Amino acid sequence: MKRFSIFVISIFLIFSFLNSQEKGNISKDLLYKIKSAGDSKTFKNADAIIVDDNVSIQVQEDGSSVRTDHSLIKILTQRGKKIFSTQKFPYHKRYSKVKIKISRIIHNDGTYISVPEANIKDQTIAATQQMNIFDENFRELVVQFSSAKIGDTIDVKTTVESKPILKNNFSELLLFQSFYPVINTKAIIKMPKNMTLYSIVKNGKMKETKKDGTNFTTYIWEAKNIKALEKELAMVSPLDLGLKLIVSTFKTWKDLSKYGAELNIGKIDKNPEMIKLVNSLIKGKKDKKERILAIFRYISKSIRYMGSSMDVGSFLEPHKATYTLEKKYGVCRDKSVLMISMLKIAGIHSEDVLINVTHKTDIEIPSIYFQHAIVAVEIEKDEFIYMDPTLELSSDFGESYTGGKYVLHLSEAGKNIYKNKPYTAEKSMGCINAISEISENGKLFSKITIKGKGYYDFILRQIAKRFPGTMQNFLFTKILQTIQQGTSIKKSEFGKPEELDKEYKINLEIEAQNFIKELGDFYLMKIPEGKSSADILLSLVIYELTRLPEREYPLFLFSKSGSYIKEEVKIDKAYNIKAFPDSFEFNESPIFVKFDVKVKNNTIFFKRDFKIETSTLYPDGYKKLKKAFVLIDKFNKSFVILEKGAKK
Amino acid sequence: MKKRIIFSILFICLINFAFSIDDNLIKKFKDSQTMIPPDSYTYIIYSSKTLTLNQDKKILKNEVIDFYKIINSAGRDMFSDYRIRFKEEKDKINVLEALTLKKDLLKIPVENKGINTITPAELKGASLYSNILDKVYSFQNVEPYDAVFMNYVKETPVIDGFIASKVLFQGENPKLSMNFRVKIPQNLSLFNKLSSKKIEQKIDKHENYKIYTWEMKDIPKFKIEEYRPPSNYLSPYLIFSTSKDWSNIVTKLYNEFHKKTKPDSLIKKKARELIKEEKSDKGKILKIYKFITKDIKKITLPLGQDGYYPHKASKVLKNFYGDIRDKSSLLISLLKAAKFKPFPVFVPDAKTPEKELVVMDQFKTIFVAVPLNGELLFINPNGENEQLGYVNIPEGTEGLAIKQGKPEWVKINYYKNIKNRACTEIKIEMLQNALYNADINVNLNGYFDKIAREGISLKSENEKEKFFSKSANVFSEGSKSISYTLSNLNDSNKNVKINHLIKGSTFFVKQGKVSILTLPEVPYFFADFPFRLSLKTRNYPLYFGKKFEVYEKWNLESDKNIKALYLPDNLNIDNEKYSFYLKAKTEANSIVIERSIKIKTLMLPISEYKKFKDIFDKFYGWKMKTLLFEEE
Repeated sequence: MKRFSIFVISIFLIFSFLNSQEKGNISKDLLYKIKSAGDSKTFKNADAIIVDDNVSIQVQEDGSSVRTDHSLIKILTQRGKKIFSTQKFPYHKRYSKVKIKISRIIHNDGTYISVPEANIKDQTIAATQQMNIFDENFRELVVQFSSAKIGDTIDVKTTVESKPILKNNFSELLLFQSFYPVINTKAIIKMPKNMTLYSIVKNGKMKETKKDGTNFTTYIWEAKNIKALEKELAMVSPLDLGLKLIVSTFKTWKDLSKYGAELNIGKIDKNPEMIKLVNSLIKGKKDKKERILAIFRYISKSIRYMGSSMDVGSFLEPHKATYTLEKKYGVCRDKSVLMISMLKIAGIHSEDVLINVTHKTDIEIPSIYFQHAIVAVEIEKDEFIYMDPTLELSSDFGESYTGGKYVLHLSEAGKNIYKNKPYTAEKSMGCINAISEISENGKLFSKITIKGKGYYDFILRQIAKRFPGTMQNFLFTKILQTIQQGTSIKKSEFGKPEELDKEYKINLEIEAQNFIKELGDFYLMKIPEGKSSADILLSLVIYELTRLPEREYPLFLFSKSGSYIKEEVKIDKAYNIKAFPDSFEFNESPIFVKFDVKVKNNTIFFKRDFKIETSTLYPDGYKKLKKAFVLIDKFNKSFVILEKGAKK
Repeated sequence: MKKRIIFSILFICLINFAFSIDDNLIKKFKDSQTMIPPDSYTYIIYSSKTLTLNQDKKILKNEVIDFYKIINSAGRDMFSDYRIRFKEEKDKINVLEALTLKKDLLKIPVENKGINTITPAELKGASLYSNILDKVYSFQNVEPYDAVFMNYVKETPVIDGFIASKVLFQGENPKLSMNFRVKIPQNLSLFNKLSSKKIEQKIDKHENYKIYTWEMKDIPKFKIEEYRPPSNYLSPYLIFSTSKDWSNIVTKLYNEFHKKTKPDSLIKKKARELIKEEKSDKGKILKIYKFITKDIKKITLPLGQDGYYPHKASKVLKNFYGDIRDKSSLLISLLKAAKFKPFPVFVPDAKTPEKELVVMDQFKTIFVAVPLNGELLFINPNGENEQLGYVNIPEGTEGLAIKQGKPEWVKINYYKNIKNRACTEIKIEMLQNALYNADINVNLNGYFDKIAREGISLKSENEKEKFFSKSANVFSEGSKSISYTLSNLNDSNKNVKINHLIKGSTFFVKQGKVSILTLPEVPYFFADFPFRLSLKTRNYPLYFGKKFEVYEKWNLESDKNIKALYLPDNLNIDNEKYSFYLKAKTEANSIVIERSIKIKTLMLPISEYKKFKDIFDKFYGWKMKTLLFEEE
């Protein structure tokens, strides 16, 4: 639904209560519309049908607007009732006014009942609380359609009067497709004649009409019978899949870049404390990279991501760098501006950059819909590396997730949006080394080292942060049961995740009794790391995300990544190795997998490489991954077969 | 008026004098630099609560000091926002000091914009409980190794001078010192019980007050451990109450529930509508149960936070939502309208409740009991995914029945033959080149039935299809789900049954002439053994929380004759707390394996863990699931 755009730019509402619980009958036409929209037989998999989803926005020259949303939602299932019987309208108290024009439940016999006053509640937003944002002004109006039953239709209409989000400009992103079928949808935007509106419809088609009036031009987009998207684990954002409309008064990205840079004027400041701090951080560091990292790591660690600093236009307009440094907290825009200021003191040029992290950027129309702010640091003339000071535990020089993504530099001269150069999975590889021994009595002893680069390193540090001290030991004991039920950790050593200037490493010494098992006339064992137990990325993340045999939508993996495992398994001379699992290689872009087993002097040399050269795995790539998993599964089902003494 | 102002000023002075961050606390903070526990998020230097019941026994002041050091950045994320829950119209909050104590001892008070009053996330949209709010203090300046200092007073009205509580001294973070004080007028009695000698008790008299102080020092955090008993089993605790007689409170609760659940015309109409055409008593109860659990939205408000008295049943019916008190109220009222004789049962957080002292905060939920066919049928008003007659607590838990007359404790059992049992029968047809067909039948009851319903009942047909496709893939990589049938998950009277057909390849591997097959795990989370043990030794008993049985039967058939080279050894270990059973046998062209685990106790003592774990490791090790065979 179109609530998305309301939330992202924080359009702000004030509400008006309905005074009483009104009852009545809807018109025959409306009843016909609802009935003919379909039911659970027509839409077997739908929890609800969006019968109507209409939005109308009237924009003024200063960028202020009045927006009306009107939706009719027919509930088909118990889950649909749970989802839609609560409607939320996020707003910020200082910027907007909202009026609820209609909030009623229409029964399938054509009677309706309006929502009683007691079921409309103005409250703070739960979602922002999860981000450490407790600003009382961030609010939502919650309308409970609690008596709605399966078969009923929720009818809700709101109007929102907003102050300008963009001064003298307008930009909007409307998503028309969601996880529910939409029968009719319409967007009307009324613009002053002297403002030009650029637009594009993506991921589908809409009927477009333009009507010129005396002072305003009216643009209309319409679509019918839009099919529902289906939920899939770790799917890409619905924004990348669904029918959407992007409109903007900005003609070029350069214009938007300039506009953004204007918001930063006066914010990239300094004071003696900041200068002193920067000098102390870079003291003795002659190498430019070291100086950049020193400043970056200070901000990552010491400036808390927190939103109680939210005030005027905070999503767009950052605080002064000196303010953020003094307060030691801020949102991404604040942390980026502080980093730019501190780098400037160190004589290093950097730029404020906007990026989308979990969905694609639509470059056709310059719109303000960016999720995140990061910093582009100039390492050579016009050559930038992208760093994210919001990430607390990023040790890398340049974030691998920015590879191949569009970035918009905010620049007073204006810059075009462009695609950052792609990184390979090699930048985010895990590295597991194991030296294992199996004694005469069949006991396994292994020394395992786990470390990683880029995204892999970030995951390891995040786990260490969340599970400090012995908690991590416990976690790994749990994970390593896949080597064998009963495997225990004898000794462990974990790096300190916050020491970003040091390589993060985990050293484990593990033990498993009766690793070689006697099965009748046979002695069997597994290759200890054959199941990639110590490889967090594969065993905990990728494996869990890829249990579906096939996918309809791309799998979002955040970053290209992979891992290497190298293990030597020395087997006591009391045993002879008679057979072992077959090596194999699978190389179908973007998947590369290699399992290699060699035996020499009663020692097994096991090497395993695994790489996914994409951050978004499309269904055809997923099929390849699944092909590779079949080979891996076969390998895992195989054993090392041994011979002992006189037995054969 | 003048008198009140003077009193307030004095009160504030006293509080400040008594509790503002002082040199002693600062010294403790400095000393704590050397004793930072590595696997905690915070280190609680000082925690103090003082309950003062005023002389007219109408107001209870709760004076709180929390002083804790943040140990790492995860601790900062979790503990730098301090929440005080309060009832807007009844409670008064007075925050005396809220500051960050930096490593260098600089004190930074919380800024005004870091102080916000918010609606608790779990109460969103529920206007009926809009009086319950959280005051949040965000300690923006806190960093690892800094400390948070919070000192506030909350005033709450009390009825008839009754105060009682259960106080746990141990938690998930270590504490240097914790004390709990109760100040009551001299003419009032306070009864208490301590679970541990480590809690020191002191009783003083001061002016017209008796002052009870309980203190414990150097309290370690709970050790991280899988399947640990709940904290109320492990922590040293104090229970106190001004009453030993349950009659008064039960009578009041009875009167309130009786008054609020008396069916009015709206309730009667709804009950008639719900049970029309139903002839059997169970059928009528089922209809009402379904309405309460599916159509009345559950609001997660912990029992007691808004008191124990319910709202009027018809009000809940009009709102279509309610917390556990209110859903109970509506359920009782509808059952009464349908001519049943239901009553509420307060359910404690332990199997054996504290009966000697009247302490209400030991109760975590409310069930409704209905006499049916000579038994008591217990109903969980929040049991959206439960078979009628099953409630998700250990059988035999004693609950407090709210009935007219003498207080009565009743044992809560599942109705009739319901047991926690998962039974899976898997028939595998082994074809050429390691291809296979699997026919899986699952029969679930009690706890397993509940988690199956929770997992799949709301899924659409497509999502169910995907779930079973995924399960086929979990069973063996690359396998396909051919078809599935599911019993009606909306029918709370019938247990969950599933039939699933799968086909695939590489069910076993051939190495040389030998075929090796390791039986996969049952591919549904709800039919598998719900515990995976990894720890070699334990610090605490192993907590199962329920008695249950998981049974699997595998029937592997081949179109050729099979020569078994190795079958898992038979196993039969049976004692009063658990049993493990495995039997493998071969016939002309088939191998049959039966495996089961029965847990007959809620908790296994530490001393018995090693033996259990050795059997468990053996039972779940691949050797007990691997077969070697040759096909002719």
